[in-house]
Amino acid sequence: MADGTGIRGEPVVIDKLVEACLETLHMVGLSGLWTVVFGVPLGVLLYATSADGPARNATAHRVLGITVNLGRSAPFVILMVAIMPLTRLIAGTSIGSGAAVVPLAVAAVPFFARLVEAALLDVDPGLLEAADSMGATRSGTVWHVLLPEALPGLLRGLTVTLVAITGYSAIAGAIGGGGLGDLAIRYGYQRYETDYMVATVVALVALVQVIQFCGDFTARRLDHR
Amino acid sequence: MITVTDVTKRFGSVTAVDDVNLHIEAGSIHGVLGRSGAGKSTLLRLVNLLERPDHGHITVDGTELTTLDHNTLRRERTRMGMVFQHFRLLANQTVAANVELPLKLHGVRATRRRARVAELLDLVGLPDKAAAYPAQLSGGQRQRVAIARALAPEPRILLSDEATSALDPQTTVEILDLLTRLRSELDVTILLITHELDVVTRICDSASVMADGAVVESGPVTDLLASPDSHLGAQAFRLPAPPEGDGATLDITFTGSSVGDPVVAQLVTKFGLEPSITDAAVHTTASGTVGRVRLRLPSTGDLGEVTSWLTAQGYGVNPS
Repeated sequence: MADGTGIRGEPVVIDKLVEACLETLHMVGLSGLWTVVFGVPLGVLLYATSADGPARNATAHRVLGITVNLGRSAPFVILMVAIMPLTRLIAGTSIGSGAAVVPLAVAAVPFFARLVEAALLDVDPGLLEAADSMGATRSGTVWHVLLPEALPGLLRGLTVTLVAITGYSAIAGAIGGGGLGDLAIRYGYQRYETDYMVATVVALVALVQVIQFCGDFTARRLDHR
Repeated sequence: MITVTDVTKRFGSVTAVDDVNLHIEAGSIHGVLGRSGAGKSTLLRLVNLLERPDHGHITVDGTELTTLDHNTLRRERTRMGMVFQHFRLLANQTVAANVELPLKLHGVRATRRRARVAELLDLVGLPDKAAAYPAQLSGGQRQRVAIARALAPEPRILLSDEATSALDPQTTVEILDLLTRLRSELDVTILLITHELDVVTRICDSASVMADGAVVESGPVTDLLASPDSHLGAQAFRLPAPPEGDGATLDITFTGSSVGDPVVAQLVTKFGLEPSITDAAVHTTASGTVGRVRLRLPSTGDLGEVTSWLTAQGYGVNPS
């Protein structure tokens, strides 16, 4: 608004925006990292125990599938509130962008795990038999055959997941997590300062575009099919 | 080198491999010929225990495989390389990374792997393709990469699952020549399965014919071809049904030393017959030439005498 810019001037918006961007990047980056750390093994287990997987196990697959679907079906706002005790246990607090990483990762892990499962199911099953014929161990097959071959698909899945996390992070921000969502709510919505609102939206759009572009570019570089 | 004893494998109510016995000499190339669904693919997978037999024993290079525990079996498999119809290379890895895969899986050091990859690519004639990706190669080149990969751990045995079936005839010949050369250079024993008769006659020393899960005949390729009533011979010399009418038809199979003998002339001078040749085919195998001619004889004359004379001369005779 005209009076808002008159009193504080442009630099204040920019400073706050940069700070909020960094907080968002911090949240998305860290929770993205944890999502990979937990999501890949979970996805591998989902794949391995599935009907077409190398360690077919209907019971284990069903238990894993139900757990993953539970995590995916809770709306993020509710999930975030519901797991606050867990957040406090892990992060020591339930407020701030550091604490927001916990619910973000918890929400993203099952989502990403399903994408990992799908990417692995895309790998030619003949390669598994070939690996068997070479005397590969199960972990050898996963590390040297499955994951490298599925890498472009995994990256595409990670890109989608990071975009989703960015969206969740705005919600997390709105309820005490900091970052762009926090800025948009506190200044743009509650104080009617439209330039903050516009700036955060632009920043979020730009962030999502950058994530998508980097993901697509890398995936294409790694895909030689 | 490979001995299969009384092996049976069932999938549900289907008996894929039915009480098969097979022995393959070290350093030989043995072909299993059969239509799709005959059980040859299962038989091949029983040899390296990708499929476990319901019954029977598999002995490879003196080691009984069916009683081994999982880890010992894994190590044993490095002594048996396997190649597939559709190559099964990692699409997102370079040729070099594909070839070194079995070494990586068994913890061979990077420096040794690199040296071995260079050696292997030289061996299969692709020294300049190390950095290429499979999609950039032709089918024949991809199969060469797959062969190099199979040979990486220096196996004693190469198992080939229809390795040339996805290739054009010219490329097929090149791959078969490569296999023959590898056999003599590396002294590997090759067990291949195929539905192409030409593959068997071109490079195999011995062969088995499979139908409905059972091995219906087995032996040296030239012997099978020369035998007048063998399945292999019937497939190789697919002579049309004899014409109706007067006179007799005689199929004469010649091999080894009898190739080049003036058999028709002898029938004329010795028996006073006037045969006409109605059909003929010749196969040049790894170990000699086998041919079959179909003669049409006038109805007169004693065919029994002719037949026994021909048999005594070493010809295979089939009155039809």
